Amino acid sequence: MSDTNSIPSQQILRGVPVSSGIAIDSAYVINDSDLIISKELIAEENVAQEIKRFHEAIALSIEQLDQIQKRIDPKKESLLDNIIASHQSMIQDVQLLEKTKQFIQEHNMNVEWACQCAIEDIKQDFESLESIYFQERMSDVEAVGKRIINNIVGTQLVLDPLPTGSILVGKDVSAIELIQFFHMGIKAILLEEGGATSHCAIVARKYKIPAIMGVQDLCQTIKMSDPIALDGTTGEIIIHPTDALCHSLLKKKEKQQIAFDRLCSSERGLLAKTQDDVLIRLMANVGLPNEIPLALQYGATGVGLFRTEFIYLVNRSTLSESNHVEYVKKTFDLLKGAPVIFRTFDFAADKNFVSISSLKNQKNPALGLRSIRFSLDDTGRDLFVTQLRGFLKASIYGKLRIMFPMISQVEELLEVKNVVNQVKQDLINEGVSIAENVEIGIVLETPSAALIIEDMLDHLDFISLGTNDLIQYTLAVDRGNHSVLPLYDGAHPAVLRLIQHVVTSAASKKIPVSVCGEMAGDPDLALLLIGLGVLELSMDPYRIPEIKHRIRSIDFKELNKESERLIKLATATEIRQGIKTYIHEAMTDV
Amino acid sequence: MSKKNQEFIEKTFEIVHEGGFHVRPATKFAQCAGEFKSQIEIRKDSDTFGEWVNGKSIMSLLTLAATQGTKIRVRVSGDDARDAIQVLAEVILHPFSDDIE
Repeated sequence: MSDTNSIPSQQILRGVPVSSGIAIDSAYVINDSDLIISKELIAEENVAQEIKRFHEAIALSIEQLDQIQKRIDPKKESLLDNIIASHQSMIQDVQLLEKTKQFIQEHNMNVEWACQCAIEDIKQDFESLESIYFQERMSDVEAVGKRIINNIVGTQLVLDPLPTGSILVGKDVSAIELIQFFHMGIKAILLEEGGATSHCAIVARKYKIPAIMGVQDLCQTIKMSDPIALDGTTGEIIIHPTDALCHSLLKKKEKQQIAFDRLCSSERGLLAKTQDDVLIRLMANVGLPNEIPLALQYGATGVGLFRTEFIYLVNRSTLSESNHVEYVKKTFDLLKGAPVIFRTFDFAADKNFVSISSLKNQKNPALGLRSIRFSLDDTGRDLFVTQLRGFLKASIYGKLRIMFPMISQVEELLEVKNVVNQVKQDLINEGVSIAENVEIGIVLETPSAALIIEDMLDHLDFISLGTNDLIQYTLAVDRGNHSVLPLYDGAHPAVLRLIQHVVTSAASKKIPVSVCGEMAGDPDLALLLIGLGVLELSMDPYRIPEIKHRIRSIDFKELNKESERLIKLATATEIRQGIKTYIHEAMTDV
Repeated sequence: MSKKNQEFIEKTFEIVHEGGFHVRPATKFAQCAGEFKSQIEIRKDSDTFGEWVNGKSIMSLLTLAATQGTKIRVRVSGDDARDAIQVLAEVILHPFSDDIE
């Protein structure tokens, strides 16, 4: 364009805010899913040239991984270090080289096409493998292929060393890719797919980088290097922001940080006790032991949800029994006696587990083989039993509490308990000593389990409400779907009344109930949950100071009365408004 | 190449370490195998009619899906077969022997 005076006008996009913080920088767009390679037949005299291009792409791929490896501390990031090393050896694989050469020489394919065919060929060998660990290596083959092909066609997308301080913009990435991007210096993440509880969201919060997901038309709208400002608290994305706006956002960022720091230090060491002395236990949701020290700093009194999928995802060498023992023991050590609940694998058919074939190609994955159903299935049982063996072996190092995700009927609970008992017996027969008082609980996340909770109580030591799925299943809303996202609301009276039913039933048998979904970290809904009698909330650790501050300002008896009144209202809007107003008044009174 | 130097050795090993023949040990194996001129192939021992895979290819080795306790058969043929089988036996039994920890 000849018109150099035109300044691109400011444009605003919105998405789901999943990790708070403000970032201002230029976009780094990855669009790997759209990588289109040309398929051409080459002339005989160009065969040697095509093979040469393959060798060059391989050398470049190795070099890129070397560059990434240089930026990480192999001690702290041994897992990433391992991935890099194994990808490097796969890039230089003789079979890949031979197959690609063969396609070029015998079928006169151009190199990118030949390489893609070779990768597809190799991937097929992995598909039918019985062991899930080995099946999953297909994702490594895929990643390696993607890298080489990108280097052949010169787009250099995924894992290209990023200019530091860029804002990652893409359709969707896996949690592993995100960790790698983090080490390449990205400052913020914008994704077209995903939502607040996706694994990427969890990674973003873990590394404290602002993230907004579920942004419609993101990749169409934002071009490489476009200047962007974003606010991970509000979900607002501004493309081509004005200087004035950047300035005010930076000010806001500074203020937010100061306010948060102040709250952290003023709440430090204080108990989360209401005005009338009811103690609320505020716990942390974590995915790795090394998140625990920070969680304790923020005031967590324990870990209410230790998700183990993350361990599985980052641990690319076989996750063995001794690995399980290791992280459980490490967690006990770090918590120094503070309570922790481990959740067994909660695999679903999402991007992170695409290479587990029994999870793939389900028409309706949310209602299909996932979570405990997968663990009890033939295809998932080995992973499950190995995990339980590890857990139980580690039970001598601390108080072990295990919970099982997505139990929806009594039979399932009994079967799970059978497996646990069998594993215990096996270990005892092997001469392994295990603790006697291992507690068993469920993640209650289906309406069916909530409705028959009375029949489950006798078999349980505790209940943790997994509200993310409970909302999804109660309201029949997929929160990953833009068109229905507004319908997804934890303040819906149906959800709250189910929760109340569970809390009251459990209280009659003195079975403790906690909440570990996102709702527990929502400053308004957290209080509503407390009002309904949930005395333990587990959340992202950085949420704790604010929620503790609120708890200390309210009166439990009054909150209880108000909450019971509110959930009788007919709409989520009224309920949300009601609790907001109540909290506001209670806090200004103090 | 003189015929009489051509050696052909076949041997069975058990994968003993936890986790089986996963990425790290397989990478190690493929790298070591690649240093020899001999042809090196592997298959699962239980799989009499199974396909032999290229022992120098990490990707092929992974498709064996050899978990802990699996017996694998290694077939080496070439001038340096004797040395190769010795080194590879060591790699199978102690894949991490040169690790610092």
